[in-house]
Amino acid sequence: MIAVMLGVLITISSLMLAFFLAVANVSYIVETDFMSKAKKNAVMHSFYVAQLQYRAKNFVAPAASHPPKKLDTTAGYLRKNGNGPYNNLTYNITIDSHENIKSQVKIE
Amino acid sequence: MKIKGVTFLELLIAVAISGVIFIALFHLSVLAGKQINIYIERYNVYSQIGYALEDMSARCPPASKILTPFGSDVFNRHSLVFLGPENLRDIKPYRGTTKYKYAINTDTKALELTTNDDKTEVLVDGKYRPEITFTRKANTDANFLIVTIKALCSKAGQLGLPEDVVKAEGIKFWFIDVVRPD
Repeated sequence: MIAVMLGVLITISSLMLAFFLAVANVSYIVETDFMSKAKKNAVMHSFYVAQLQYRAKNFVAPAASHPPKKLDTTAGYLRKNGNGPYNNLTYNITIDSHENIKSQVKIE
Repeated sequence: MKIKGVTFLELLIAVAISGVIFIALFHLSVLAGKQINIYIERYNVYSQIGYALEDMSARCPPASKILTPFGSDVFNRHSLVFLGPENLRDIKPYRGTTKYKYAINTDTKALELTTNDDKTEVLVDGKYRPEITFTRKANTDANFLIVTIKALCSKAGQLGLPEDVVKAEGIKFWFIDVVRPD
């Protein structure tokens, strides 16, 4: 009887230990996945804004040998998973003299 | 103290009962394993189709030229070839020269993305028998396409789930039209 009780106790405690050890990793994986998705969406959104501005001729290439033109925009606040603090998601789009449009996304 | 033993009959009954219990447990675990396998397969199909659609919705909009355009009487295509930027974070309006092709490989039956005719990436495995259709609806914008990917999850029927997994997404091209005027 004692052996059975001991066996059940060991099984339950190992399951609980495994669960608590895994929680941190699971949360890290979910958070990383969430952030990468948010960044990818922000890049797509920034290019969407850029192409609209470009086609509207508001975002034109600078003359040769001039530095690239910038279009700083904020996409607002991004909530961290699990009701954590808020992060400000910003992106800046640049256009150089060769009309190459680049985007950089930053999450503070 | 007198120790009470078990009779042979009691032993036989105990063995029979435990045998039945073990067989039932074995069958239950096999059944659960099968169900888990089927759900994992369906999840794989879903995620591969999702990945393919995500890739298309990032790569197609900045395209600079469609090499397999739609005409006034062509509304469906099963492959799409176009020119676009090499780096998806550095777009060159109207000037991308990298050739991309989304199509089903006739040998492997997989949905593949071929870049510049030499680099191939498998988007949906051939074992799922994917089908892809690019559709242009009449009376919609000339730069808008609907991509539908259908794949087969043959084991799902065993659980009464539909065998076909279908996902669709609309894609708007930024710089070009998908229709070539006649």
